[in-house]
Amino acid sequence: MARCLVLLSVAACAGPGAARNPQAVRLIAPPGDGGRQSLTLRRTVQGMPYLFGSFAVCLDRAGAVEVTGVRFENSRGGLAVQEFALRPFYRGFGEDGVGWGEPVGLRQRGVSTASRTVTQVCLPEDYSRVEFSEVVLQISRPTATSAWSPGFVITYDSGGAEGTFRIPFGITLCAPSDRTLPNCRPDA
Amino acid sequence: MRAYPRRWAPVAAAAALAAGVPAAAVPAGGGPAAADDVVFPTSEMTGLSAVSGVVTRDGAALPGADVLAVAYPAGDALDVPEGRAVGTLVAGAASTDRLGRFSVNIDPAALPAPYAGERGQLNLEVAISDGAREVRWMTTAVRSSHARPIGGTPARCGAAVGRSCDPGDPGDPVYVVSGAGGSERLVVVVPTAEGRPVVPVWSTASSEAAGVSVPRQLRVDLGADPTAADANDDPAAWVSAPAGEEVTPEGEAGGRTPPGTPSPPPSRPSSAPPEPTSTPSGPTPAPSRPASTPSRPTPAPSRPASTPSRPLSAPSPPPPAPSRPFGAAAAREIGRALVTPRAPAFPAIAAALKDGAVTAAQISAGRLAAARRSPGPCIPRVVKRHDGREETYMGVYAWSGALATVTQANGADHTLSTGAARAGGRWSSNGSLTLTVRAGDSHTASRVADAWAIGTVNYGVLANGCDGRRNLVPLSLGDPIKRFARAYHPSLKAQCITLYGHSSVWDKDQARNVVIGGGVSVAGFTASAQSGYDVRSKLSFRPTKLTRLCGNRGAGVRLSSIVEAHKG
Repeated sequence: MARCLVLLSVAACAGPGAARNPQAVRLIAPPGDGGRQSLTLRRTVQGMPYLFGSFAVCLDRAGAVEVTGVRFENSRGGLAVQEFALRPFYRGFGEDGVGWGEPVGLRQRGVSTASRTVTQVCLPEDYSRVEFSEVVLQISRPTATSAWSPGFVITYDSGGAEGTFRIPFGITLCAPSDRTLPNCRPDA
Repeated sequence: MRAYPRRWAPVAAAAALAAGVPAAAVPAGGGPAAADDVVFPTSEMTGLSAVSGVVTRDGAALPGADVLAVAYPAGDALDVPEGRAVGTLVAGAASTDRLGRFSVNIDPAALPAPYAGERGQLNLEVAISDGAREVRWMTTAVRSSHARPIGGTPARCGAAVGRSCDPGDPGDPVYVVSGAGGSERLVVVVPTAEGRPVVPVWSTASSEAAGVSVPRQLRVDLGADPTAADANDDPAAWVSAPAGEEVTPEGEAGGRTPPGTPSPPPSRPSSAPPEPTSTPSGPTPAPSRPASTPSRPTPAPSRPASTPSRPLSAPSPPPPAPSRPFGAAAAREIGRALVTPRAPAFPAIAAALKDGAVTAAQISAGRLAAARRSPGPCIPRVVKRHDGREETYMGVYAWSGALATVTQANGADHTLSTGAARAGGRWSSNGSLTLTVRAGDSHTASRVADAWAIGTVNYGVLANGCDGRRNLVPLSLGDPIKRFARAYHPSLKAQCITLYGHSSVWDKDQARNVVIGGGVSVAGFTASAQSGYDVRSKLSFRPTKLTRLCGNRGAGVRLSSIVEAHKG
């Protein structure tokens, strides 16, 4: 049967360019049902880099996309992505993913920022094999106020079409002098 | 909208019906089609579709099958005392098209008040008939809250669809819709008209928890081995919930019970975990409340803070078995559907359509409920209540250095399976209804570790006034957090992330929780239970010591449906 009968709905996480062009390879997440998660670092130092990794992305079919940027959406307190890295995985993370809130920079951690290409193809969840690319963010809180974002957006180029993919992982970096955000309050 | 001529109605089954023989005893699919006077409009998926699906016979598309959606009261109106009738109403109808596909449209504006819950929920019994035989499926349609359209952009098979993607087989996905997390996918098995995007008015609690609105999608086979299943709920993935002895959270909040002095943290059993059970029987049934328990049980008095969960002199019970997925064999058993003779409501609505008492346009526009037609003389009645049955709905895998907070706020949804009586006092699973935590029953328990969260639910046996057909149906929720029972850590290793003490908080919401198979044990029926994570139902960890946060997916904790925290 013709496989073109299967249609994909308008995905919230798909970017406009890639979504408009059905031939373009798209960046998506491997199958899973972790929902929306968030992590709050209750004690952070202004200007210090923190690493957040273990975010898996892959392609909806064979090909390649070039990641052109990663930015927080609707951020408060100036939460910013200083740098990002992509690391290929051809098995599960196990113990090898970068954690959440490691107080070091990418270079100190020994993570290269050279790669900007994703070629790993998402496999159905009933497959024993997995392959994906890990996105690692180096972020910081630039001011004396607590910083927050509900998620970040990856921008990529797919055959000349720009696409975006949103990862709904909330990050809060609390400032000692600013307990206004809910998870930064002493009683939280 | 199109109407297809009736092509399928086995003569043998019709003859057996006329002779009063249960159609379930008639071989399916034998003989040529018989004339059938029931023809409803067909419909692609529209914005008003409350239930869609595909009907087959032994795997082949079944055109001209008929579908009736009968509304049951919602909210408190469903909490009917023993001996009282449950007023039902025909809310929608459809026939299947040449590919066996159907969509039942229901306009919420056409529903009388008792049939719409506080947030617009609609309880439906969906009857699917080939003219002689019938299977039934219960479901709750909830109002959608995500305005993302379904339909439109052509795509292809791939990671989003999975190994079974071979469009052309009845029931294969037509659309795949991503959840808010970007990774969970829900399928739609019926196309929209000419692929035009539609924004659904109806959804399910499960898909809403995933951050997307998708109406119920059914796959029904009326062949020799009848089955009915939700296309977005594979029972093979349901997990067992073998609960251990009662445990007391180290503190509670929410105004229901006072905070307690910390009790010793549950320790991980040192012995190897026992082998999992191979049958989907679920946990050992908890002692049931007496039948005289009121339908809204008062919360159990809180244990004195200094009292341990069990006497110190008592021998240690064996550790509970770990939670396990049900697997394919159990899923096949759960999917088996009870087949009964066609209900009189089908010819009654068809006659009304023929007489002009209702119109095809009315049905297509989803306004059949406005005609206020009863499904006929066969009114269901609550013949027995089973109140205060314990419902295990959430596994909380924490440790003393990273205790969890469980929130069950007003409006939190719990989806509980329903049963249809088979011969020999057994029950078949035939769908589910979604109930919500009522105002005043909100509850938060903090400092929880290694525990199944257990609430209470009130079930009722509904008997049909004509043919005696019986359904086991959840009528209302009681205390959403009655107690906690020891849960064995699943020992997840797919990925672990280190969290430092006193420095971080991990939260999860907007996600479907795993379905707990055998989450409720009532009248010999082990029902499944599911509660989603959203703003009304949350799980949080606040580590005070070095902690490892582990998930069940190799692609990361972020994509894991089950997450545990243990000592780092």
